[in-house]
Amino acid sequence: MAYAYLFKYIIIGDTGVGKSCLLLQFTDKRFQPVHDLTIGVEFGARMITIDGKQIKLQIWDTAGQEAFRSITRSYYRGAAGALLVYDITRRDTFNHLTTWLEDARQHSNSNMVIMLIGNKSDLESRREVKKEEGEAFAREHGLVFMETSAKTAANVEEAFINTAKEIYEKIQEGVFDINNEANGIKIGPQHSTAAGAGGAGGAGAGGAAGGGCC
Amino acid sequence: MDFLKSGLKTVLGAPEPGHTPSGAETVLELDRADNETINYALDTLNNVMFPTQFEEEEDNPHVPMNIGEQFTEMFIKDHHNIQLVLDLLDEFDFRVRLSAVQLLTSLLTNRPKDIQEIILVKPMGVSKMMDLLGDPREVIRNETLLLLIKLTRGNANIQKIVAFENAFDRLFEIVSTEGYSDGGIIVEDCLLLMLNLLKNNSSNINFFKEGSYIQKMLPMFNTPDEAEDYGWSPQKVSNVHCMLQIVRTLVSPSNAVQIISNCQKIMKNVGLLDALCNILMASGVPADILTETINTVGEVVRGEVNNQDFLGNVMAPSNPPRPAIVMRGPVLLPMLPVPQRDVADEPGLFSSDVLSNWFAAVALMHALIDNPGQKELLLRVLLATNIGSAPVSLLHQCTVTLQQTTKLQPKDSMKQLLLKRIGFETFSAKLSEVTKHELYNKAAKHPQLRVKMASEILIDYEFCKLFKVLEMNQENGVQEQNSERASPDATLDQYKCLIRQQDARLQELMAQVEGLLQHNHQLQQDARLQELMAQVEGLLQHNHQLQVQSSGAGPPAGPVQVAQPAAGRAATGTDGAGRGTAATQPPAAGTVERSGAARWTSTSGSAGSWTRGYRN
Repeated sequence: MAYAYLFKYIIIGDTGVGKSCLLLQFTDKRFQPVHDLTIGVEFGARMITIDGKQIKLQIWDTAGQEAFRSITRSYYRGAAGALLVYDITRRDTFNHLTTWLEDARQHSNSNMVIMLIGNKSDLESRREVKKEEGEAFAREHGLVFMETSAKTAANVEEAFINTAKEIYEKIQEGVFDINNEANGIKIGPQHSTAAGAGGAGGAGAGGAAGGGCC
Repeated sequence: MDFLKSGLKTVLGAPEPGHTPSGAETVLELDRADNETINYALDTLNNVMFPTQFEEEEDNPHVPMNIGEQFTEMFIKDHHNIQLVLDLLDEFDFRVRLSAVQLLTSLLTNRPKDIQEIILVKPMGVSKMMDLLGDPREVIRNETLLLLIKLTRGNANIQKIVAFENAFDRLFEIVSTEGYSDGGIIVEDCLLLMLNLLKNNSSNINFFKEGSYIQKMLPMFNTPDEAEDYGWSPQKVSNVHCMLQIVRTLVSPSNAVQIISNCQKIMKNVGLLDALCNILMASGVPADILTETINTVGEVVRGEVNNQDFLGNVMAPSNPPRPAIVMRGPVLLPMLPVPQRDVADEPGLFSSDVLSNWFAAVALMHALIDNPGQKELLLRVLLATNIGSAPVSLLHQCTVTLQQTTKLQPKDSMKQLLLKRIGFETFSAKLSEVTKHELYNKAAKHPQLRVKMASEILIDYEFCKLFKVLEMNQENGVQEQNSERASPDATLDQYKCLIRQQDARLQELMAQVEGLLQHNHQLQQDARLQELMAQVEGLLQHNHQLQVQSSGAGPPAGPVQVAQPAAGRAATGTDGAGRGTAATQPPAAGTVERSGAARWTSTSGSAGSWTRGYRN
């Protein structure tokens, strides 16, 4: 139950690339070949351990369809990490990455960690996007890259955990302001019990003041 | 309406006719820097679109009832107008911010669906409103709460965004600073907003559960120390009622089974169930809160064995402590009763009111389902009836209730009633109408009872489920009964027919037997006659031989003389002499005499001739 940190993730990318399946594989360790179209967003959560510390991941799986794009935008601001997913068997989903990335960069806080994921790596025979292309795109835009398969669970754990590691490192480096909840990071109850009410009140006031000046 | 419209334009300084939008845009956009002007503009817009009528409007026949709504419609035709108001939320000036929030609340009251959709697609629309919850000025924070309650009603997407924006954290923060259940109406507003976020939103319920918010509810249910205050303020009643609603929403039977079970486990582990049970045991709890708490406890333990056992082991604060179910049984049961009923009434199971009985029985059922241990325990429960009289067992009371309340018709008379008086067609037609009934549909959709008056409740969710299952069987059953009823008639007729046939056959055979008997008799008589004839023949021959012998050796005087007086008698006499006794033969002789008189005559004739011959 108790955790040291809580990270908020979002999963974004074109419709049908396997976002919901990745989440299901990560939270429930199962694969569902036929998945309903996600409407709006769906929530999932799991606890992981990094550096001996319990970290709770809260993940919002968004709808890939264009119609829900404006809803998705509401989730960028409060997220600490994003999984940007494309389908290695569909070139167009790779081509749309730039749009997704622009959208994310525009609406999120600048420190959000973005992990690029080429999903469906089990379908090697139908591959349209080479692994090297994914790597190149990630290097160019400063993302972490990984190919996964929600079906065989290959690299799924790693994708979520490596993103968390990245965020954790940024916290250690002091890049993230962990007192600002809008960054998608929360300190666990055992850390903040003493600071509790007083700290929270102060943060609230600070947030309001910040809102006022911009 | 025209005079108002033009008035609006004048006030806002956009008199140009034909120019698409009104002054609203002009002022809000061009005079952004002038907070005072903006404030007046917003206030004016709010007045124009205010959902409820102003006093002076009520008497004016020129002002339509829904004038505010009509203006709202005009205002939102251009989505840009909403964006302008949203942008003004960023303005830190107190009055501007407040007016903007109030205006949005009015808009949402008038056209909730439309505004929700517009705000949803505005980048950061919802997020901006969420930021206002952290406003240090309480007035703005409180107005924002009202705005968010309206904004989140019935729109799952907005609900999720609001939850994502740390709504629960902020709301719990406010609730805690306001003093939990003892807080004012602000606490209630916070709880209403939480309720909006959770209702029918499994994603948010999941988030609530995973975010350890169930634990955070615990302080809300802390019961005051003994005898601290007996009077609950109406606000506290409302607050606690909302809190209970939140708990019930989490474990509502309409949620996915996994979510319910997870929530139930957490509720027990973090001590929420314990806290709820404490409310049950506390003194001075208002009746409707007690009722709702029982409903809540019922749903928290429903189908979860550990929780059921926990409830079974709750000790009542008596001396010595005894299990609460046993102690409070008679007190608990009456509490489930019809809303707005005097709880101090007789306990549910003892009540003569059928509905009370029903509720009490449902409570019992929930306590017992799938739990053998609890069943054993409840079997041992003794209920105090009246002061002084001996306690009765729970089972006994249930049986009595069953006997008293449900005057069940015996099956046969039911069938009679159904088929003879009502008619099968009418019955099945009425039966099919049940599922079309408004109350049925209502009940089938809501697993939790939500009624204010006893008259509003007719059937519940479980009944609907049961009815659905039994509907087919019911009709089949009746139809079967129907055909069963028909078949005995047929067989009866068949048997009647058979009996009639057999009767006729019997008569016929009897007649035959009669005839045969007569025939047989006749035949017997004939046979005797022939026998006798044969004898007579034999005798005649014998007689003849004797005559022949006597004529040869001279006839003996005696016998002939004896035979002399009557020819008929002579033969007999001879016969009698020949055989020993003539006396044994007289009836036979008589019969022969009668039937064979003619022959006898002829024989006697021949005898006569023989006599004459002899004489000659």
